[in-house]
Amino acid sequence: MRGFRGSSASSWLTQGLLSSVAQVRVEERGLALGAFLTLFGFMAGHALLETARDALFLASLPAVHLPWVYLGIAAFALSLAHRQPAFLQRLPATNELSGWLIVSSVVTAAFWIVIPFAGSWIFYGLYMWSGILATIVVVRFWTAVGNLFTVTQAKRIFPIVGAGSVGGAIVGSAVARTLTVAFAAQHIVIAAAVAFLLASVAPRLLGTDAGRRPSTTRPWDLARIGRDVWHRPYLRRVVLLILLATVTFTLVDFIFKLTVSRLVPDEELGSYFAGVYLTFNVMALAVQLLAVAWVVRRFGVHIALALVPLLVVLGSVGMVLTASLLAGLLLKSVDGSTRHTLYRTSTELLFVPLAVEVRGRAKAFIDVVGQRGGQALGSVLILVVLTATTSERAIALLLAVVAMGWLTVAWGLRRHYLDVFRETLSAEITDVRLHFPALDVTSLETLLAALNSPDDRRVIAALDLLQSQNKIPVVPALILYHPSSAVVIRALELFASAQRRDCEPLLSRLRGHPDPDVRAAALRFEAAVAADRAAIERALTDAAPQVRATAATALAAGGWASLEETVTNIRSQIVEGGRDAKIAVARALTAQPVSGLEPLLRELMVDGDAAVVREAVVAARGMRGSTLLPHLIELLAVRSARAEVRITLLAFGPGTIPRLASALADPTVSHAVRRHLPHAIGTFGTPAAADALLGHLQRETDGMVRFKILRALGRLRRDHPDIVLDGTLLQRAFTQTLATARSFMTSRRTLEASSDLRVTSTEAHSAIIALLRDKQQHAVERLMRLLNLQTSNDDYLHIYHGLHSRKREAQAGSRELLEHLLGPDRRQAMLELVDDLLDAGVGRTPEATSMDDYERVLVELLNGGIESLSSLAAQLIGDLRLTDLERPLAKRVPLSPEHRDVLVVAREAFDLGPLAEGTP
Amino acid sequence: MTQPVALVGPLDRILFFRTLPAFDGLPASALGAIAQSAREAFFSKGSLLLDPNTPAEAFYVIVDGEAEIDRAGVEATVAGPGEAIGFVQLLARSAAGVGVRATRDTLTLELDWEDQLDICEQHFPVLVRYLRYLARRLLVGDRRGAVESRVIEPEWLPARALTFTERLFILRRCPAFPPTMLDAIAELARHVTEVRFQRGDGIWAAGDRADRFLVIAAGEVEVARSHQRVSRLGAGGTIGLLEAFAGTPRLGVARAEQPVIALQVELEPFLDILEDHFDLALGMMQLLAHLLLEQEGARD
Repeated sequence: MRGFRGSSASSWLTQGLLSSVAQVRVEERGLALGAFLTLFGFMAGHALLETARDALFLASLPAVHLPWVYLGIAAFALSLAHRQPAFLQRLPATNELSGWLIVSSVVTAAFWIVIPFAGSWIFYGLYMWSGILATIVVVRFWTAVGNLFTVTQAKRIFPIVGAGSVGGAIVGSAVARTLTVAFAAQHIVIAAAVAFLLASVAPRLLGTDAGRRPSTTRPWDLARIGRDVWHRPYLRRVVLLILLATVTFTLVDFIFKLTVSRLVPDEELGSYFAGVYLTFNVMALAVQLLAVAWVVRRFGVHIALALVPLLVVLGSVGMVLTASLLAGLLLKSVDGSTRHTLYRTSTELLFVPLAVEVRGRAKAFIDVVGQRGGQALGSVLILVVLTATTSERAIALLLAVVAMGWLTVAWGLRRHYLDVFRETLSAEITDVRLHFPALDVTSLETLLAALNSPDDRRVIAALDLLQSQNKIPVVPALILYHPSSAVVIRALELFASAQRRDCEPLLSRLRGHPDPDVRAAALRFEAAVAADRAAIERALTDAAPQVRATAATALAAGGWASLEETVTNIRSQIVEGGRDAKIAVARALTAQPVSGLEPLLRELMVDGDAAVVREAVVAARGMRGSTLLPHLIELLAVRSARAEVRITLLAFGPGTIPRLASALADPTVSHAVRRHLPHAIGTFGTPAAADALLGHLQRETDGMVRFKILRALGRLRRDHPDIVLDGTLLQRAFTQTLATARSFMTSRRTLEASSDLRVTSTEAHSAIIALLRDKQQHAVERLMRLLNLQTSNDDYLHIYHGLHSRKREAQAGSRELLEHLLGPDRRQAMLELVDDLLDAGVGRTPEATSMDDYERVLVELLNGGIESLSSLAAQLIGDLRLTDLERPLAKRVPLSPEHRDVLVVAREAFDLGPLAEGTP
Repeated sequence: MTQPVALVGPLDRILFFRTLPAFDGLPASALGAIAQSAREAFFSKGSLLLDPNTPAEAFYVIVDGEAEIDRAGVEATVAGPGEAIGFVQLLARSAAGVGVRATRDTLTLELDWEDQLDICEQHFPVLVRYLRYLARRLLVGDRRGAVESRVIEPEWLPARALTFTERLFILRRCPAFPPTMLDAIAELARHVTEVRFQRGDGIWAAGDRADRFLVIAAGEVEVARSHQRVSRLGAGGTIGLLEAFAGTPRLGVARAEQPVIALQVELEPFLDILEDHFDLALGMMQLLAHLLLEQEGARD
């Protein structure tokens, strides 16, 4: 047990560091190292400078002067924000960072030279210089680094970079503590200058792209950027958060130094500060390595943001109660251990979802105004309190109030943080649903003008658009004299549906039209609108069979011919006219349904010609005979007729839903039909349709049909948001699908990790892995659709879209949003699935799979209900003659004739004999 | 150079897109979605619509004006109203750019890749029209009428009927299908029919209905037009795909040069599979667009 505590703590830190480093991908390591070393070097120098500064200042000047110094820092930082040195403006951002570090080194060295010859006023300058330096370099650094990574990368890499900050501060404090033993505090200043100079080399590792900023940020126009920031609610809140945080840190710092100056002798200040800062920095390192990544990943940015103010509130209460050095130390320890770790990392994450241009401008503004404004505000508050009292208790009370405000803003920021991702993802998605504009006079003129186009397609499109807006009555009847038959036929159809009797005088000319299809269309119009028996009977002698067939149908519709006579007549026209006559009959039935002609229509619905079938399906809309329903359902398998079948089924009324639902549940109905039933049911857009779909979702075993059900439910929900879906059923479906998706993932990972070349070189092995991955992908899509059905917005569909985007920012943003939207019960499992697909195994070094595990997965796949996977598993077992799997193969019952064929071939490898007959 | 004021109203756009060959026959909902997604972009005389050094991320349809299309080493062509620019490059996701410069002040409608993806996914008939348009252009330019991808060495195939897994492996190796989308290919493997031909057997004749295509598993097939051989394909090759997508009758005769085993794919179920597996559909579209760019490059 000897040395257990020490070794245990260092072991935790080492493990924390290794675990954080392991999260960083190989391709990211160069950039991460560059960022780490830059911050490490700068913070080491800053810790040295800070120790010297505090010791020198408090030894020569009263602590109550500190607020004036804070104000000075704020004023200088704001002024420098406006005026960057010209030579730095010309440099790329990374070189600019090096430039600032060199400037820091030179100016700090100058202070070291001047201090022995100057009075105590120099310590005001030294204090302000260290504060200004931290503001400028740290802002430039995080802006540069923030542009390098997506939010997902940032969550992995920023903790490591942050560790550089703390590591540097520890080394700086330790060196300062060593130096104070032998040297006066003023000589620590030159050590800081050396550290800055060494750090200036590291930004080169960040590459030339880092910190890429739009030229509009130079020179910084704070007023304009401020207006931009003000118009974005999210950024307004970030400004407020940083402002309150900085006021809090300023108050904490003052309370601590006021207490120290009161209770620690002047000659011990140097070693005291060095020791205290070293301790704080070690604590900070522990926080950085053990807590930051865990808190951010496990609880999200908003919790990470709220933790620090919560601790400050508790610390300030302790200070109000005791006003002791210990309470001051504890309060400062919160600042010292979290300011550059948890607070810095979580606030940096707030900028990552912003677009690069916005981020560059906003960050500069927020850091300068929030930090320096906060410091100025904090100083003014202290000065106001000091006019009444120098009691630490009073200032601590003020601190508690400010920290509470910070906590409130941090907690309320979550919703706005997610909205930024939503905004970005929504911008990625095009609304492809048609929203017809309101047809104003100008639009109407446009469409009427299009009727004069020499392009027939444009004229027909204009007619269709007018019809969709119920504006057929305004179409000039003279369009019936259009030279194009297609235009005239379409106009006649639309005029007939609008009962345009004003067209009748023009029909006489169309009766003699050379195109028989135009004559047939004109006859349909006459029959439907004018009911002109004489004209119809004259058409029975027309030269074209399609016109005669139309006339025969129209006579029956008018009740002027018996059914028997009509059928005979139509059949004879079909014999002569073939396809054209069939289409003419179907169109005539569309215009004037004839009860009793259903058998004839059924014949047309099973015709070999797609156009005839389509017209027959349209005609069925008016007939609505229940005997047509089974044929219509069968026709869902026919692609060319499917869209019309759905409209016809809808026309049959809601009483059709139970028939469609029962077909969906009937295993004897072909898969080609079943897969299209969900869309047909969903088209009804009623609660009954939703219940039928959701109810079947639980029972359906086919993945494609389940997917179709979810798509149909999604459409239904989108078009009818008022329909309520059963949450329990959705939750059950989610749990079931999640388990399936995870089983695909774990099976694939096990097989992928095999190092047995005999196995991995087979085609069946690679096919199984590819298939499992595809199935996992589809299962994730189904999960997203299920989640979307449980919410009132389209967040999850946007997320799914974003995850598939080729833009890495969109992918990372989607993942971030997903992480925040999911409840704790679903988060980890879903993210593992998504990360697995996004990463495609990058950075994962799984342990090699043993042959026993490999075979166990093969047996699971062989015995599973997914035919394709079972077939491939059987193929692999047969190909490799895996004797241990002979028994499972022998016992496997085929799922279908195709599955049986595969099993038979696989069994031949083991001489298992023929498969028993009678299996399904 | 995008102007903020809408010069082309939504209805004008629908009417305008309706007259373009690639969108011919589309339902109003799909046309409306395209019209709605399009953005007006105005280019003053001399400005670049597409940069020759950058892959096309959008295509432009000229509403008014004129633009010059410049490809390295090829005589420049001029496009006018109603013509689409960068369309095939965009669908192919071609890394090579094409230089297009406005020769007059030019008003265009712009559709980018993300718009295309959304429209094709939500309105599958649009993607089918694109496939048809690309296939027709390929057939006009290339008299072979077959997707002659790299030919794979014939493998030993059993005398018995092929099993599901064997069909799956054959389809997976066929260059016409992106090999990564195995779930879609597995479904296709369930829908294909194995067909066998003896040497000299006719597979189809000119004028026959092109409602299917073949993936050759073993043997060789000759495609001839007007008694002239236009292509010869072995295992891994696909014949009849372009005619099937184009919706034209067979342009030539296909005959077995050797005993042939092939997988016959019916167009209708295949389109259903494409509709349900959008990535596969996208892969097919990219393949055809890529072949068209290759073909036009070779012809130039």
